[in-house]
Amino acid sequence: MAPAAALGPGGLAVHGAATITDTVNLIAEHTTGQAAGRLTSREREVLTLVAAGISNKGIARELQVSPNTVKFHIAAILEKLDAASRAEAVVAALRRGDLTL
Amino acid sequence: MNSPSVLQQWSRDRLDLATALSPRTVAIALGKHRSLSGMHWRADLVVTAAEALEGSDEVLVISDRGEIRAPVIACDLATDVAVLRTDAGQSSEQAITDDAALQAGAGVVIVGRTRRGPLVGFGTVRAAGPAWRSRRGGAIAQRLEFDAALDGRFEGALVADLAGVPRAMLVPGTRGSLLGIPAATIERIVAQVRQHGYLPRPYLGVRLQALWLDHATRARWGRTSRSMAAVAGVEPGSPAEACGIAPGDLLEGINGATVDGVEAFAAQIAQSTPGSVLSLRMRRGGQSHTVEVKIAEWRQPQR
Repeated sequence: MAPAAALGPGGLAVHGAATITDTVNLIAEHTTGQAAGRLTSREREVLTLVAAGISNKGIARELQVSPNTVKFHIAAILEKLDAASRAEAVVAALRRGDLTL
Repeated sequence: MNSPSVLQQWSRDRLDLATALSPRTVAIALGKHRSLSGMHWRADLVVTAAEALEGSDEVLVISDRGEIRAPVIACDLATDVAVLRTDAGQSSEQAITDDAALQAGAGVVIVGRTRRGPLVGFGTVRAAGPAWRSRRGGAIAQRLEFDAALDGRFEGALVADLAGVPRAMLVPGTRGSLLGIPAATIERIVAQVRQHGYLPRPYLGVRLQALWLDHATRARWGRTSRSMAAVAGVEPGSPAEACGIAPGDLLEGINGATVDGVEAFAAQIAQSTPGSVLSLRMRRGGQSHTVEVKIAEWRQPQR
């Protein structure tokens, strides 16, 4: 039997036989699994603040870390998401379930 | 005395346009050598390109009347509009409202500024389309693409028509294209900033995952788009949790209209105002149901 769903570029593919349970399980697996380039919860927090247009210093204050730590997190996020800019990273993270709306 | 030639008159008209518009422009210093452009929009607010600020919370703004350190009070990556507070400058209290759409083929003047003085370019509207949604989920009032020879210092520059009326802000697009963020879109952001002192952010409290549907599933679920948004996570204490949204729910539509995928859904949320109520149609366990959710305001961190 063909798998009900499969990981594809930029998201999950659901095929004809997919049940909601399959979908839920796969989403859970995909978002908490060992996928390469997975963001840490701290990186997710940073990216959500970036998406809201908060400055690096504002993010540093919010998370009570130094601005350099924020820059370090952002560099790691860009690397993991293969993004050239903050806006690109936000778009990529949105599709992967890494951004809170 | 001889009357000026057509070419002299043409040159003089262009110079007049540039001279009239350049007092509106500012340079924004990024680091020691780089700069981008911006413009006095209205009252004490300067508008520039959000992406290029790279998370700065204060920038050095240089105009023809000197330098001033200006706080970044709004930075909207979705529309690429950032708003800075400076002195009153050359702009009036009057909003720049521009209902007439630019058309392909029209001439434009593009004025920016470096630390050393004004930058001026002339170009043509290469393409003008209807309203569109940027990849980042921003609602842009009109699709504008320009044909002009410009460099990175023009990012955030003022695009005016040949009557000298401001029409857009110049921003880089993909593959070296030059796009315009129309005055109406800038004004939408500026009006919110003026009302609240910052840009209020809507907050729902969900993380989404893109799903790709095969033909059979699309047919069964009555959808035309290949893509659909699934809920990957719900934040505790969020509006999404309060109305019973759960991981695994598939988002079918908002306020009676079908929503295609993650970006479209994010754009709809981004355009909603905190306090407004949205009706979300969701699919769960093979059945569709509708929930009403009151959009909250994203908690504004201390600036």
